[in-house]
Amino acid sequence: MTITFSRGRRVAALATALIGVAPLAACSGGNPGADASGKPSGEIRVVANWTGVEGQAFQAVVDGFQAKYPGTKVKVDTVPFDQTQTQLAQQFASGNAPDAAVALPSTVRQFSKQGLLMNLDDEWKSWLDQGAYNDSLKSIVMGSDAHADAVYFKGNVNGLIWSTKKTDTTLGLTKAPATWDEFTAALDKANTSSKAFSVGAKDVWVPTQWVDPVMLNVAGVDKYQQLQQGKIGWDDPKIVEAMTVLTGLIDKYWSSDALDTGFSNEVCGWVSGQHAFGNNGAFVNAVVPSCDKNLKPGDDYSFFPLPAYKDQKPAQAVSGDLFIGSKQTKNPATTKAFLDYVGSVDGQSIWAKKGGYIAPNMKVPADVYPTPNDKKAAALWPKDASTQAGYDLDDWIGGEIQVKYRQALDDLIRTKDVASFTKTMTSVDTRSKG
Amino acid sequence: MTSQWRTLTLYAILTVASIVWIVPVVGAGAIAVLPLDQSTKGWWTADPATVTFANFGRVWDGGLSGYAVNSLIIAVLSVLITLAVGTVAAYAFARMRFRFKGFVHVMLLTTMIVPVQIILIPLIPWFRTLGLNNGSWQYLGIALVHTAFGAGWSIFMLSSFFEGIPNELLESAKIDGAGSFKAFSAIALPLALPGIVSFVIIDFVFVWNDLLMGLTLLDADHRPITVGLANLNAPQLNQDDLISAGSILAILPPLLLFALLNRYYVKGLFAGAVKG
Amino acid sequence: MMTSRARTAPPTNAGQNTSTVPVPSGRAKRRGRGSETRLAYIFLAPLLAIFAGFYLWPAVATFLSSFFTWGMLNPWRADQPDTWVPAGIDNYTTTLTSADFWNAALNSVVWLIVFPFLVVVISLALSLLIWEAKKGTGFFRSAIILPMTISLAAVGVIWGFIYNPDPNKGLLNAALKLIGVGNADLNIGPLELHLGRWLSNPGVLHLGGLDVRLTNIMIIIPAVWAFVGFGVITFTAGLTSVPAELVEASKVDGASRWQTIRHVTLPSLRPSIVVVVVISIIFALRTFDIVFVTTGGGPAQDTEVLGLLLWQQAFQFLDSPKAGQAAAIAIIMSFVLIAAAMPFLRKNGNPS
Repeated sequence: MTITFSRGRRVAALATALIGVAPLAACSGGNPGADASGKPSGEIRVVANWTGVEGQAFQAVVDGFQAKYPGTKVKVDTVPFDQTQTQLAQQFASGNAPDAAVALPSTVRQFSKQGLLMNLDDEWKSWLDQGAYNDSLKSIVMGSDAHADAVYFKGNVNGLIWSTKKTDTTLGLTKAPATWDEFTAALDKANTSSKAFSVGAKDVWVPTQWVDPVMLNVAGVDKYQQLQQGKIGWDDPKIVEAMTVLTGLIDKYWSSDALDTGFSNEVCGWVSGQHAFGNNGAFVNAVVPSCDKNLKPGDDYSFFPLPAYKDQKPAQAVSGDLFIGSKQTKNPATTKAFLDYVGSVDGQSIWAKKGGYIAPNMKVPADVYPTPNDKKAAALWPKDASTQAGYDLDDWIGGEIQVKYRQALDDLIRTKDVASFTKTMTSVDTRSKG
Repeated sequence: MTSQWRTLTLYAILTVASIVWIVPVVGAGAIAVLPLDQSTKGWWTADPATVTFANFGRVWDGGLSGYAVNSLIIAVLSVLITLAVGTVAAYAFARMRFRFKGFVHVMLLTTMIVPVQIILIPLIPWFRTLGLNNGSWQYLGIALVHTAFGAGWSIFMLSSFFEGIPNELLESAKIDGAGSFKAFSAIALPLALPGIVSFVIIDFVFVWNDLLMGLTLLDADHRPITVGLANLNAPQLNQDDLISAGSILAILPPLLLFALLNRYYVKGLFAGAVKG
Repeated sequence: MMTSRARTAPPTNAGQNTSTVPVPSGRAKRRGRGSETRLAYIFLAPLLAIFAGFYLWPAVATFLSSFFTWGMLNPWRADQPDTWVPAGIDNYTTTLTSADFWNAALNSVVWLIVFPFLVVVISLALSLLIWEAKKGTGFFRSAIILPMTISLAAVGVIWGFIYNPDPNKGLLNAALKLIGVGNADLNIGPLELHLGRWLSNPGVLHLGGLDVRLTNIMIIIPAVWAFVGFGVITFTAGLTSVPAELVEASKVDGASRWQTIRHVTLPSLRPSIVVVVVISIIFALRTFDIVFVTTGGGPAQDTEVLGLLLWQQAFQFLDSPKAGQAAAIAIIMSFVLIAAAMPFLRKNGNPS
């Protein structure tokens, strides 16, 4: 090794001398234990992944922060949603970490393992003391270093079955189906020349949003969380049963061009009445106007939560976006202030007022939500510990298992072969096997 | 088959082929100049009165302008560096003798064969070591990678132009007392100029069209237009108007170069192909 | 690039062309050698320095780092041996025994076979047709060469409009609707086709135990569309050097046009065909851009080629540091290509 090593150095020196750059400034491993006290000022760079209406709403939150702390400036770098993890890894790896960034639990665990994230234990302690968040929400932001390493910024509830009032009238659906049988009866009725559900599985995250509510309702919240934590495998009978129920739904009620259709066409699919239903998260309320500007939330379209399966107690599927702070930041005061702000009532109320958003901070008052649909969805947010809820499986696992999981779901949609899906996932997700 | 029929068939096939080859670009262009509510009903049935250039403005102001500027900087810088170091080296290969010539030549030519992925993976840590990882240094970093990975092509093409220069011209210059360098700068370089122009165009288009390097090595502020286009396309949003306008803007500079300097472009590739 | 040099000086006029063959006269050789060699090194140095720093060393680093376990967040660095996590040849054995690798390898093999084949056949046919035509050759050639200036990222985006499954947006499905086919499922022997699902599930070719998904073909077609221009240029260059006397002689002998093409033109074009095949193969194995833009390797792993798998392992799979394995794939890919292209390299390696 020594020979190649010295050769490497020589080549490095050669190249360096040639282009005349001062190297090794790169080893600036940040300033660990940086002092975060002091007044926020100056610019920070924040990576986010919202576009369109959502991008504007986030910008409004940023504007709110800048107004609260004059002299600060937040530069927002927008990256494509599906590449957030990859691009963050690149930026951290190249020594260009942003000061703060949107993240998912998997990212928080991976990055904290490398000691890259700001410790936010103090912020969380005061939030818990105020009753702004609870322990189950805190568990989602925990890093591998046993510290709270992220802020919960944007909540979402999933497994909501959306339809227009026009469709409801056609189907004679006067009240939300309360049982699984009522639910499938409605679907059977909606299964006319086109299938009941508009599905945009070309966006790889869409099918994952079907797994969560079905698994929570069929296998129950305990099994769901055990699977999420890697305590049981995908071959657990209850998990297999849940996947079998999901496959039945896919087979019977999904539009056949699901894999050709993107998410926005999925939404327009049920808005236009081409299909009866869409299974979407609460945020879709803000997407509907892009299909039809004239529809009024609540009056013209609404949702009901996926009913319980047989005798299972229904559990709410939730997801959401977190914010992390980089330990390497050169402006810890402003970064901390920003993270504090996006977790606060002030920051979250700004987006909540714009709709398509659920504030994870439980102190955000219900009257800030602009439409009946937003209010109804916000009420489903698991505020007290007794509410059964499961956090987004796909966002939780992350990394290679997540990519393989999405691929396996694509294959399941095509083949409807639960055994093959189970086999694939058992070989991919080996956490429960030790 | 009579000769008339033969001619007719020949032109029919060629016409159909040309249409097939043009239609994808025309389709994207049509979607780009139509409002979304027109193009979603089928651009081939759209009302010509609704044609607008607003989509270009929206996508340009919506962030594509930054990507386009990055692409321009990266492409120009790469071409300049490649030209500066490539012409002299190509001349050496074409006209001079030195030790290990064959070996070095093969080493350079491997860049034409091995996949670019062979250098991609360690580049991020390597750029960090060299300090090429932040700010405008990134432009230099990626340009040097383009130069290094394009070394095979540049030597291959440029030396073919130098080889085409009659030997007596260079020899007579030397006999007249001019040094080897003078023979290069005063005789060879001007004579090879048309070939060099062809090379510049091809190299520019090549760098402009890169996605993988830009995606992997650069931060959000320095990425090229190919990445900008991929980003527009990635979320499945109802924005075909913006995506198509973006794609037209991204292909416009190479297409214009091609249209205006067609002769040079084809000649360059032609020379490469003939030399082989 | 790698044809025989003979074509620059076709046999018929080789005698008059000796002046362009760069053989220095004995006198000049003796006189200017020392200073000229020094100048040669000066001329070479800048390029070689950049080459060493930004190609050679990264390539060596790829090779070395393929024997360590590392990821982008904890990179392998030559200058920090205390952080190395040795992996022996594990990255190679893991790669060569993983289903992901072989799936991607199969998709790359589809590219390696179909792409060069289509490029050669189509561009050869078009070149011959254009060669035959008397008028409008400039237009036809330009129309076909034009797409080769377009980046593959843009090619993917532009063809995305053609492949749009909505018959009101996508030209192909509009055509299917027009002829009343719609989304038809067909079974022709081992071939299972789903018309209209161009990028999600266009069909499967069942070869015994091996199922080849046709989604790859749907991405190869746009790439061919863009690449045929290169073939046309190369073949046209080759056609100009087909000895006219031979063609004439063949005609005088009463050969039909097809026989002339078969027995005179095609054999003369052999070197050009080799060029196009070799470059298409090199190109096919590098494939990344167009797959990344059109399908991202999906649905499932149907279109995941080696170039994409490697990228995912290096830059996407954070929980399992796989950059070492990605490096192993890069080494394997390069080895295959160099082995395949070595004969051509040898031929080209000795500049006159």
